[in-house]
Amino acid sequence: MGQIINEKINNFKKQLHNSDDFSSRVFVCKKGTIGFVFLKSMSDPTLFSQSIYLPIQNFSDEINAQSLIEKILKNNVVEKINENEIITNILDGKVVIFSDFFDEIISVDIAKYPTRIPSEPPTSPVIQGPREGFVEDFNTNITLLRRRIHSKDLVFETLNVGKVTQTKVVLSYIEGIADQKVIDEIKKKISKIKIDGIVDSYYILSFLEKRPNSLFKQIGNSEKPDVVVSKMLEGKVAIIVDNSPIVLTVPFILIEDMQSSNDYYTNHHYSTVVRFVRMFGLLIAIVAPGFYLALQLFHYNILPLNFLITIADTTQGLPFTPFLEILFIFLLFQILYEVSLRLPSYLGLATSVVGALILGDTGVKAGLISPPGVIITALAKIALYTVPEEQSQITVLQIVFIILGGSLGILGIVTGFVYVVNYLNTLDDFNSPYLAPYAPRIKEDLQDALIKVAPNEMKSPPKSFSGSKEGEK
Amino acid sequence: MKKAIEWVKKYPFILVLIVILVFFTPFAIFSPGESRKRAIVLAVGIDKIEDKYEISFLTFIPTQNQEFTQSNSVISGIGSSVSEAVLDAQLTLGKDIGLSHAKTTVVNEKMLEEDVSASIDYLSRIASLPENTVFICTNTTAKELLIATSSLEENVGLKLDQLISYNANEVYFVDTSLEAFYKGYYGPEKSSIIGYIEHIKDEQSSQGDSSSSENGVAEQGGEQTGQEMQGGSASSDEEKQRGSLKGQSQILNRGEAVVLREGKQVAKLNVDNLNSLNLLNNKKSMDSIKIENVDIENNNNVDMIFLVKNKKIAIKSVFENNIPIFVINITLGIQLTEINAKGQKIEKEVQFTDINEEIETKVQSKLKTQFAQTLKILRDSKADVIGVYDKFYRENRAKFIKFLNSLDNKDDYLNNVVFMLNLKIQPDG
Amino acid sequence: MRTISARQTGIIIFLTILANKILLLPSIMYQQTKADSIFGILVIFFVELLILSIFLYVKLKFPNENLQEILQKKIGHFCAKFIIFIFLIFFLFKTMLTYSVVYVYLKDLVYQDEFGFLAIVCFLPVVNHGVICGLRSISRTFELFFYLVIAGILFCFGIAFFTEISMPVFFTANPLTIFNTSFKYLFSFGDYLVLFVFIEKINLKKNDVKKFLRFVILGILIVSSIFVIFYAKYQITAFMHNNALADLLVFSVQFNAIGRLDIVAMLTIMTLGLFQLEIFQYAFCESFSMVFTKLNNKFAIAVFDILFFVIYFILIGKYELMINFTTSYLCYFSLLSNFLLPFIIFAVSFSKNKRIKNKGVRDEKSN
Repeated sequence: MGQIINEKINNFKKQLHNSDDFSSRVFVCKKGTIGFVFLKSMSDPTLFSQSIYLPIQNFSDEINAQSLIEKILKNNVVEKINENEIITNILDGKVVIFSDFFDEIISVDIAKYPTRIPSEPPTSPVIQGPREGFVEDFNTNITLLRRRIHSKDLVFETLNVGKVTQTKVVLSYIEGIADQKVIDEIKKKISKIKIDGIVDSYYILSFLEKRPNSLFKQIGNSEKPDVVVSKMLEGKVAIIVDNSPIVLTVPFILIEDMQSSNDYYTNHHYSTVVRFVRMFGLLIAIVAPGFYLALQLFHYNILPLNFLITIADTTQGLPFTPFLEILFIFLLFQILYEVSLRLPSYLGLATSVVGALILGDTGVKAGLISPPGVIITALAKIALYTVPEEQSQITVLQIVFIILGGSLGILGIVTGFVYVVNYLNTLDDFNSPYLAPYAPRIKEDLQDALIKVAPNEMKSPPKSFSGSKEGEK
Repeated sequence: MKKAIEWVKKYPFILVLIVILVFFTPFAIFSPGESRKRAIVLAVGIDKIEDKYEISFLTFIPTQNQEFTQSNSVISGIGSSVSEAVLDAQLTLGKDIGLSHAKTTVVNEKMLEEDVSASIDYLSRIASLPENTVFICTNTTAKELLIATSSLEENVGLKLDQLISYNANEVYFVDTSLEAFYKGYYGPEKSSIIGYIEHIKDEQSSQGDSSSSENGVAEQGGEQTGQEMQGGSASSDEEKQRGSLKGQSQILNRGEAVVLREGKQVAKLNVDNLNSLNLLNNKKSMDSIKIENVDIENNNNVDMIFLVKNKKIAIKSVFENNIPIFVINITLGIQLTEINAKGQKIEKEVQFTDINEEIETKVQSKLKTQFAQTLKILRDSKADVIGVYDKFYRENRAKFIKFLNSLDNKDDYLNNVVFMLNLKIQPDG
Repeated sequence: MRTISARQTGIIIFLTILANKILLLPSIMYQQTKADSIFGILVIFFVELLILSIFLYVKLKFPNENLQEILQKKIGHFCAKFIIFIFLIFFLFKTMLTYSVVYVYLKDLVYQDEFGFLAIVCFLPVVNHGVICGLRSISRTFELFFYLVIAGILFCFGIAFFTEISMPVFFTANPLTIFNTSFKYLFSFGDYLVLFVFIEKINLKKNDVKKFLRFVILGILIVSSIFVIFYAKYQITAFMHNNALADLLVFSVQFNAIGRLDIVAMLTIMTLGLFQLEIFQYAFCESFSMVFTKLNNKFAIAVFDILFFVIYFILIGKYELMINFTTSYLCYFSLLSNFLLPFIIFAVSFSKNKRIKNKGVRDEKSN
C-alpha cells in the first residue's frame, strides 16, 4: 500500500536531483494514499499543514478529487494540472497533490519566499509624489501596476525565458493604447532569446535593442510604478522581469530621460525651467571639458581677456600640459566616483574629505592642477547628474569630446556633436524617432517636451510612439 | 587582419578616431597651450624712426599667482617694414604674438605728417586683430606711451583702453577705432578723427628711453617697464596736478582729437571743438555749457553752468539757388547744475526752471561761436568729419554732384557749403 | 521609400539658400557694385523663385517618380543621364565652394593658421556619415538645429545694431555693372537644384506648399538682411571684411567689457557649413547613383572623397584662385545648370503631361 505513491515521490525527487529542500508528505486513508510534494524553500510548511494537511485529516466524508477541490481546499488557489506540469509547479512553490485512488493531479498555491516591501528607490527619489518602487518579486510588481490601472484593458502576458532559469518575463500594456505592431515585435524578439539565464532585466535589454552595440540606450527603464504607468498610458509596453526591480519600457526616446517623475508633481512652469536646466546640464556635461581644452589649445582668441588672464596665470608653471591636466583631473573624479559608489556609507565622509580637500585643494595649492581645470571638470561631472539616467553614456561621450576638443579644437567638437546627432537620428526603433518630438517635430508632443504645459491643456496623447510621423512616410 | 577590416566596416568612426589619436592627439598632449605659447598683446604701438619701423607691444606676462593680477611689459622690435618689426619682436620674446586681444593701437604724431595708412596697413590685414581696436596718436613715441600706460596700469589701475573708450563715449564725435579711421579714409570725405593722448615725460625717463632705443633689440625686449619708469597718474587736464607730479611720466587725457585727411594730420581739435561737434551727435548728450555774467533775480553777474539733458537734432540738406545749405535744427533741454555767484549770496528759494531770454541768447551765442570756430578749423583743413558729403549725397544727390562739378577743387566743398545752426533752448523736464 | 516632410524640405532649402552667401559674397560684391549688390541678389532670388515653381510643378505632377524616371521616358536614357551628370558636376563644385568659403573663414578667424588636414579630418567623415545615414536622418538633424542656427544668426544681427548703423547708399552703380557682377557670382546661387535630385523622397502635397514656401522666404529674407545690415554697418570699409556674418558681431568700443562674442558666429557658421556640405554631398551621391545605376551609395561617397582631395589640392585654401575659378568659369556653367536644366525638366514634364492624359483616355476606353 502506498507503494506507487512513494515511487512517484522518489521519482520527482530524482528529477530534482535529490535536492535538499525537496519535501513530501503522505496521507493514508481508507481508500488509499495521497502524496504531497513541494519545495520547503519556496513554500510555506505551516500553511501547508494548516490549510491542506489538517483539513484533509479532519474531513469525514469520502475523499476524492472533486471533494478535495470543492470542499476541503476551497479556501486555497487550486488548479488541476497534467503530469508534465508537475515539476514546474513544484518549482513555482506550489504543493502538488496526487493519489493512487483518483487520477487528477492537483496543485495548490502555498508559495512563500522572502520579498522586499515596496520602498522608495534610491535612484529616483521624489520630493512630493508617490514613493513606492518596484521590488524583485514580479507578482508584487504586477500588483503595483494593477493597483494604478483599474482597467479591463490592462494586459499581462507571461513568457518564460532562459534555458536554465526559466525566468518569467511579463509583457504589460494597455490594449487599445499600445501599438499592436510593437507588441508583436517585442513578443517575437523575446521568444527568440536564447540564453541560459536571466538574472536581471538588463540581460534581455540587448536582445530587444535594434543596435545592441550602440552606446546609446534604446530601451527605457524605471524603478517606479507611477513612471511606468504613465509611460504605459502613452502607449508603451512595459516588460517586467522576475527578480528585477527594474522594469523596461519600449519604445524609448531621449526626451524621456529629461522628464523626471518629479516634474509631474510640481508646478508646470517650474518643470519647464528644470527641464531646460537639465538640457543645459547635459550639454555642459558632454562638452565642457573638451570645450575648455579647445579654448586653451586652439582658440585663446575667443576667450574674454579677463578670463584669459586668469587661465594664463593659473596654468603658468604647471607640470602638466592642458590636455594631460584635464585627463588627470577627469581620472581623479572618476576614481572618486567609483570609490564612493562601492564604499560602505560610513566611509563616505572619508572619501569626500580625501576627494575634496586633499586631492582638490592641495592639488591646486601644490601647483599640480589649475583651479579652472578643476572647476570645469567638476562642473561637467556634477552636471552629469542632472540627467542621472544617461550617466554611463555621458561619461563615455565626455572622454570622446575631450579627445576631440583637445586634438581638433572647436571644429572637432561641433562636427563630433553633429555626428552624434546624425547617428541618434538613425535610431528609430519601433518607429519612434529618438530625438522626437524635436527631430522630426511632432507638434502634439511639444507640450510635454522641454516645455511642459499644464496637465489640463494636454489634450491629445503623445504621437511620438505611434506609427507614422507628420509628413514622413 | 580580416577581422580588423570587418570591425572597421562595422564601426567606421573607429577609423576616424584612430586617425585623430595618431595624428592629432600626440600634438595636443605635448602642446603647452596657446596662452603659454603666445604673448597676449593688449596694445600695439607703431613708431617710425627715420626709415625703420619700430613696433611695440604691451603684452601681458602670465605669472603664477593667486591674485590674478595683471603684469605687463612692453616688447618692441625694429625692422624696415612693420611685419619685419613684428618678426623681430617675436624673436626677442621667443613667443608668437597674439593680437586678438589688442584693444589699442597707438601711433606717434610725427607719423601723421605722412599718410598713416601705409604704416598701419599690416594691422588692417591681420584678421585676428579686432576691427574695433582703438586707434589713437600721441605726441611722444608710441612706445613711450605704452611704457607709461604699463606702469600706470600696475600702479593706479588705469587702463588705456578704458580711458579711450571713456573718451569715445563721452568726448569724441565718433569712434576712434581703426575701423572708423578707414571708413573716413576710404570714404568720399577722405577725413577721419582719431583720439589724441598727450604724454609728458620728464627728462630722466626720456633719456632712459632714447638710450634703450639705440641699444639692441634684445635689451629692449627684456626691458621691464615698471622698473625704469615710475608710474604717475594724471587723467585730468588740470595744470596743478602736472606740477605736483614732476619728475614722473604722465599721460594726459585732455580729450583732444586729431583730424586726418588722406591719412595726414590737418588739424587738432580740443574739447571745446569736440563739444561743439557733439551738438550734432545724437548719442552724446551730457555736455555742459557755461555762460558768464548773467543777471538773475537777486544777483547780478553770476556764472551759470547748464547741463544738456536731452537733445533733438534735425539735420537737413537744402539747395537754394544752387547753393548747398546744411541746416541744423537743434532743440536742447538744459538743466542748471551750478551757479557761481562770485561771492554774492544766492537766495535759496530761487528756482531756475525758467530759462529767460537772456540765458537763451547767451547759451545760443556761446554755442554758435564755438561751432563757428570749429567749423573754421574744419574748413581750413578741408576735413569733413560731420558727414556733410554723406548727407547731401543721400538727399540731394544730383544737385550735389552738379555742385561738386562746379567747384574748382572738388575736395574743397566744405568751404562752399553754407551752414545754418538753429538752436532752441528749453528747460529739461 | 523613406520620405521627408514638407517642413524638413523647407529647412533643407533654407540652409542651402544660406550657403556661400553669408560670408564672402557680400564683401566681394561690394567691391564692384557697392550697396547695390543687394538689387542683384534680389533679382537672382526672384528668378530662382521661378525655378522653385518649376520644381513644385514637377513634384506635384509626378509625386512618386525620381528625376531619372521623369526624364528617361521622354528624352531617353542617355540624355537623362547627361542632364543628371551636369547636376553631379554642379554639386561637386558647389560642395567645394562651400567648403572653401567656410575654410577661409575658419582659417582666418578660428584657427589663425593653415589647418588643412585638420579641417578635412573634421568635416569629411562627418559629412560622409551623414550621407550614409540618409536623407531622413540628415533632415531630422537639420530640423533639430534649425532654431539654434536661426538664433545664432539673429544674435549676430542684434549685436550689429549696437554699433552705429546708417542706411547704405543705394543707386550708385549702373544696372549693367550690377548685372555683370551678379552674373559673375551666379554659381553661389542655384540652391533649389538640390530638390530636383531627391524629388521622389519629398512628401509634398499641394496644401504643404505654403509651409514649404515659408522657409524659402525666410532664407531669402535672412540673406538679404545680412547684406543690408552688413553694408549698413561697414559701408565703405565693407570690402575689408571678408566674413559678413562674423563681422556683424564685431562691435564698437563701447562694448569692450562684454568680452568676445565671436563664438556665437563661429558655432553658427560651423554648423551651417557642415549642414550645407552634407546636403550638397548627398545631392552629389544621389545624382551619382542615378548616373551610374550599378554602383552603390558607398561607392559614390568614395568617388566624392577622391575628387574632393584632387580639387582640394588645386583650389581650396588658395583664396584668389578659387574666386577666379568661380567668377570666370563656373558662372557660365551655372547659367546652364541653374537656369537651363530646370527649364528642360519643365519642358519635359510639361510635354509628358499630355501623354499621360492620352494614356488615361485610352485606359478608360479599354475599360
